[in-house]
Amino acid sequence: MLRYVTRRILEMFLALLGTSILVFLMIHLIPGDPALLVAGLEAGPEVVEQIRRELGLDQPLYIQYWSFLTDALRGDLGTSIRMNIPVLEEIVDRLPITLTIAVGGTILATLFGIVTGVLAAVHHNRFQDALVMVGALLAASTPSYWLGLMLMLVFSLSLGWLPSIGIRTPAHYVLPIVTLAGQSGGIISRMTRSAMLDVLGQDYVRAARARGQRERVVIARHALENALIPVISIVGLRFGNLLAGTVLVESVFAIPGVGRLLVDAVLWRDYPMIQGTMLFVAGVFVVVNTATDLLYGVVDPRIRVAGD
Amino acid sequence: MTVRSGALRRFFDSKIAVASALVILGFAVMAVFAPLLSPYGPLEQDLANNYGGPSPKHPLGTDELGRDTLSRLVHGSRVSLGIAVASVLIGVLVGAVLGLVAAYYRGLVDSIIMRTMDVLLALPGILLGIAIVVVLGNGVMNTVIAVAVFSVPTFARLVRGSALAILELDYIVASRAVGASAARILFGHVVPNSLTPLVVQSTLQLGSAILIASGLSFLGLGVQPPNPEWGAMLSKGRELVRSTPVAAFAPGMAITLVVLSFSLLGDGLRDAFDPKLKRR
Amino acid sequence: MTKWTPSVPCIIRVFMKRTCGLHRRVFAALRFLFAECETRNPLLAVFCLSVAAGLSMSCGTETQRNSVIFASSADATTLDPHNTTDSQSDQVIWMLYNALIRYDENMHFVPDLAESWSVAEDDVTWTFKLRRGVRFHDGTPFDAHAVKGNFERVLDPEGGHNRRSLFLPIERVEVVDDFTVNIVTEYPFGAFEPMMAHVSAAIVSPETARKYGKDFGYSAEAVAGTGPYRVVRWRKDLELVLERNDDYWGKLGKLDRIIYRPIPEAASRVIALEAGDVDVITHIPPADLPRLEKDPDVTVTKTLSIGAQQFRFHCKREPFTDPRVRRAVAYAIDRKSIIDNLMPGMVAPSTGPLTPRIRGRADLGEFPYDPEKARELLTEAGYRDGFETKITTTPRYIMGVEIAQAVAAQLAEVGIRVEIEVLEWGSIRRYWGGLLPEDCPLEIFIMGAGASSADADWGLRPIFSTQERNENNYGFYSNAEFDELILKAMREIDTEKRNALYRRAQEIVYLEDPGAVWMYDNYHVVGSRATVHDLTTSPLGLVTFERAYLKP
Repeated sequence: MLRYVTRRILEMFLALLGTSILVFLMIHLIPGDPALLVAGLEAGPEVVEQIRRELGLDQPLYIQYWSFLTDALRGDLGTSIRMNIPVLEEIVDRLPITLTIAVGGTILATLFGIVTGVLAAVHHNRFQDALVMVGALLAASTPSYWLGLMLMLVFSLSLGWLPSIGIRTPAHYVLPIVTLAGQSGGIISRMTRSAMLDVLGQDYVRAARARGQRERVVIARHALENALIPVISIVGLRFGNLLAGTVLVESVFAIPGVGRLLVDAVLWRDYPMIQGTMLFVAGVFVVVNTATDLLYGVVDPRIRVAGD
Repeated sequence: MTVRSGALRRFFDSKIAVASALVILGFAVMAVFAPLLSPYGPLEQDLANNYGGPSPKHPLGTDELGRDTLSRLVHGSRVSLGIAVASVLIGVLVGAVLGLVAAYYRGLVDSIIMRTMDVLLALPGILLGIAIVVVLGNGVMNTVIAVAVFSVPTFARLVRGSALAILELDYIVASRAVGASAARILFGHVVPNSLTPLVVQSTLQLGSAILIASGLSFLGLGVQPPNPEWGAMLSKGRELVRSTPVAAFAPGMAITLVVLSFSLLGDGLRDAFDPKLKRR
Repeated sequence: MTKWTPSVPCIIRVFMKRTCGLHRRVFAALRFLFAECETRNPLLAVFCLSVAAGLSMSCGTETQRNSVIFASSADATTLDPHNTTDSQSDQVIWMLYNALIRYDENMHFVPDLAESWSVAEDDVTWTFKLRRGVRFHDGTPFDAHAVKGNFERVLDPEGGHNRRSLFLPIERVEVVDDFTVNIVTEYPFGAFEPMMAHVSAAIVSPETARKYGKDFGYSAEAVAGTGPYRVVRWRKDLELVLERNDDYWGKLGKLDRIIYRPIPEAASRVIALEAGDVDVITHIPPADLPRLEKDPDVTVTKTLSIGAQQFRFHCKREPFTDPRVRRAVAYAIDRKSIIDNLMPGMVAPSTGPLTPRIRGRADLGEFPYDPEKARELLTEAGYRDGFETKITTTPRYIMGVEIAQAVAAQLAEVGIRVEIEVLEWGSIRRYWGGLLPEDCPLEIFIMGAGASSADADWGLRPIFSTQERNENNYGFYSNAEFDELILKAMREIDTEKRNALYRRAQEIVYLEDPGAVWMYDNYHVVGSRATVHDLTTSPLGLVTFERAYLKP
């Protein structure tokens, strides 16, 4: 068990390192002088030189990377050239909003996905099954920004039940969370359904029935518990995707979250902000994935024994 | 070969799979014959008739510059499908090569390649796309590259897994011992046997490719105006959602339909090729 | 087969049990909500419904207090009057500061911090008698020394303020006594009063300015003026909150608070206004205008402003070095079609490089739409088969991208093949200011320009006089006769002679050697909730709240 945990954590650090290298290289791969990019074209040559020295851009690449990494670990992700404030501060300011939407979306997607998946599996090959299958597939294929737009059109602009843009009251969160949950909900639903069907066909389930266990116990304890194992790992993976999905959803609903921050930073060519936000989101993604894997290991004894 | 012919029969047995294949075919025809099928040019402006709702002359209305939405939708299929196909193709080729190399040579080469793939997979699709657009800039070509990079790791993993399994087989090991060349083994044995999962995955990946590409354009980062691309049209439709809602509805419907069809097609192919996996 | 479906709470329970054995604790906590696993749960349904109802009812906005929320298209970049170059900053600055004199609604000069002023016989010495008993927000007194310190600050060559060039005609500022100050110009400057009424002539507290140095105006604490409101909180790109200054020397504002909330997307702004989330918006998309005008809860006001939209040329780059090519482009564009279809009800056709609101402007008529003439000129200039170029535009200007596309289509008709480049405001601004011609990649680019002093001098001199780097003359326009005329007019005090000189200059830059293609003159269109009264919508394109009040 310990071996597995240490291995996974080691791999996590490797992935984080790799991601930081990629994000760091991003600026340096852009054609043009990074100092000029940060200073702005209108800056006179002395200002550009000053920026070059300040950011250490005149030093060899690996030294720059080292300071980039150590700075990031200390919490210094640079200063936004557009807004003149530290990148980390801005990210942290906006984080609660984005996290609420992402976590809310995950919970909704998981709840909805599992419930419908189980429903479909239990009523296999009947009307409920077909309905859920089609619905889940549709949800998984719909672009989140279109879903958001349509929901906004119907529930906000036409019916007026919910506010459409911005984030100020709890009601503002409803549409973004539902939109974000759509795609993942569909995927989780299908996953649950197939896992559940798998399990229901297994020998031990039939054996339990043969033993005379009540139907609901069979399903709840034997089938459901085991079927949920792979689903858990999917949920963990989906959270990362949901976090990234906030980029699109926040654009639709004009929400001032971390996703919007990244998009605006890209549009304004605010390179320190782009780097900082990417590093942050990717970092969270990697950590969550590792946590999910570890949880999966805890939950499914088979994984532990095999050691990967 | 018997697997194949059985597969074909099983495929056509499934009505859904056939239906989705037909839908894809329909869009492909639309893309290829776009100039013939659309009543107006995609860039043809008619300022006096802008913001028009659906009408006999313009079944889906007109956009802010008086361009026919239907024609732009049809031409948009060219752009969207073209980007998807091109990027997945590149992804398959590059990914397959990487996977084959990793599987054949094992050891350090394998580790390096697969670790890099893992790092690429560490970034969610849309973020990777954004990162590449930041470095390379906007435009159609760079969008293709962005989506291709997103696809590569999946295919590399797939091919590597498949190749590893095949390379373990006795007769392959024997061939290598006797001195058969890498190329012969790889292309003669590994590739043909990896084809079916590759085809299935490509089809599924096409759906994701369209979602990512149109997502980037929606954010203003991918395809630039005045190119008709479904995601970009959706972005404009967002601004027009109160005055002409059809401008927001149509492109999204198109994207959903195409992605749905690719998913169903991929599922159908998978079930056809390997009925053991099929869920009754 | 099985018919029993596990109910939702049951599934939740199993899930949590599987993940971390939390189920015991959580289940105990939820016990009073759920009955048993076997029964359906009407309680749960009721619980969910009431939560949902509660959520949707908390939709109330915060305007119960006496405050107004203004959704601008962008956040203010600075609150230092000596550094401001955009209208979002300007309109906040007018709430926080005063200048010596200012414009009233009829564009006449009226006293602000100066009770009276006059110019001596020598035409260069202007004497201002200052108001007494005025204090800055930081408590320091306003007097002649403060005025002197203020202008010395903006003129300081080491200070690096954006607006320094506006005040270059000032030679020195003399303190005569505590409340009398002389401002002496180097030469008789015809545009002196417009310069002193400009937003950048607002008086800042020298003490606070000294204290914060380069950071003055970039955070909530680093602001000190004499105005009717003061800054309470500033979270960049989120909100800027002003509170009434109860020690104000003049008429107190009726609103307790003014909140600026930037909403960059036009469509979102309009939605926010219609929903009542915000009270005032500007920069309204033309597609939404008719609907807003019909809305009984919304008031739309339009004022002819000093701003005009134009497409400028990079005059040092082929083929735009040839005035015939630039004239050809001007002839090839059908402004009427663009105005009628893309911006109906929001703009008027341009009849000169300056709008009718600007002193010294000349009415030179609408530039004709004549594609034949355009083709003729192109052939004459050697471009019979047209050429390729690029138009750079930005969505910051309402319909900026659409207009560029419309223009591109029109230019295609005369053989000019155009590629469109869309940049965000921040990106395009980087090309404006301090570049050498060869470093500036623009060819044709969109620009919205207005004389912020409502005077021909400032409307023409900085943006069309020859400059080596494009600090203000973004397109590197250069015409010797124009430069001469502008310099002469600057020193001309006699209004008639001034106007004649400016007329000739405008003819050059508008008709003969075009520096730009003028598309239309903007109306300043403001949308506000019907509960907001007495907004000041100045032709300078600013919305201010000194007289505004709320009444349901």
